[in-house]
Amino acid sequence: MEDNFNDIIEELLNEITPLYQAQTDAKMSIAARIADAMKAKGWKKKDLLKAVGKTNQSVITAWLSGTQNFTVDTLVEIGMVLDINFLNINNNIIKFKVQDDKNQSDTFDLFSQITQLNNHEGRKYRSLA
Amino acid sequence: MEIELVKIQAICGVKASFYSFREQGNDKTKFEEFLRIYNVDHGNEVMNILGRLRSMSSKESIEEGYLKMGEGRPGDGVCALYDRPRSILRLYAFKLSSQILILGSGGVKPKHIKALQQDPILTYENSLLRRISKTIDTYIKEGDIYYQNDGLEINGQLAFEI
Repeated sequence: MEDNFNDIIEELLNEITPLYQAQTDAKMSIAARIADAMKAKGWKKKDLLKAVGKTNQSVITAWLSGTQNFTVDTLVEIGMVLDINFLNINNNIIKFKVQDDKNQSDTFDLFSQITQLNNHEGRKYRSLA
Repeated sequence: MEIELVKIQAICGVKASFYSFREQGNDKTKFEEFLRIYNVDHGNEVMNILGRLRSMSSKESIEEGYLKMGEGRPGDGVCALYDRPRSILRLYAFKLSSQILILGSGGVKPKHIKALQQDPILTYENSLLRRISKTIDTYIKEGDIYYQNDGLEINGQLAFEI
C-alpha cells in the first residue's frame, strides 16, 4: 500500500521539471536566508518592516513564505538592511590609468569612484582591464 | 478514532521528513487522499506543494515562514500549506519540529471564504490535525513517542486514539 503511494508521489514529482524545481528551491533559499538574517539581528517582522520603510506586514510574510518572485531591486534593498549579499556581486576593481600630467593613479573601486572620475572634465581615461 | 502515523519516504530527505496518517480501516493516508482528489483539477497547485516539500526536505528544513501558522489552537503547531498568494488549495499539517511535518488533507478555500469554519471539509480536516497535535504532544512529553535519526524520525506509539 505504502509502496504504491510512494510510486504515485514519485510519478508526480517526476512531472516537476528541473527548471521549476530550481526556481522553487531558489525562492525557498532566499526566504530562509532572510529568516536567518532576521534571527541573527534579533529582528521580528515589524523590525524588518520598519527598516525597509513599509507598513503592511503581509509584505514580510510573503518574503518569508518561499513563494516570492523577488525583483533585483527588492533583493538589493533587503540585502542592505540585513547585510546579505543575495546576488553575490562584489564591487569589481578595474584598473584605470588617468592620463594626467600631475596625478596618475590606478585601481579604482568601480562603483564608488567611476562617477567621480567621469565628472572631471578634460581627463581621458582608458581601461587597463 | 484510531489513527496510525506513516512516514512518506518519497518526499523525505536529509533536512526534513514528512509523515501523514490514516484512519483505522482505511489503506490510504490523508495526504494520499489529498493528492488523488485535488491533483485532478488543481494539478499546478499540487505540483507546487510537492516541489516546496521536496525543497524543505532536501535543502532547507521546515522554516516557519514557509507555512501559514496559527491554523489551530494558539501554539499547537497546526498550520497550512498554501503554495502561492493566489492559490485556493489549502493543505493542513502539524509542524512537530523544524525537521518533521505531519501532513493531513485539506481542500479548496476560495477567497470569498474568510474562515475555515465556513467550509465543512476544511473544518473537518483541520480538526483532525488539532486532535493529532494534542495527542502527539502528550505522547512526546510522556516519552511514548520519541525522536530518532537526528530528529528526522519519530518512533514509539505511532498508532493511537484521537
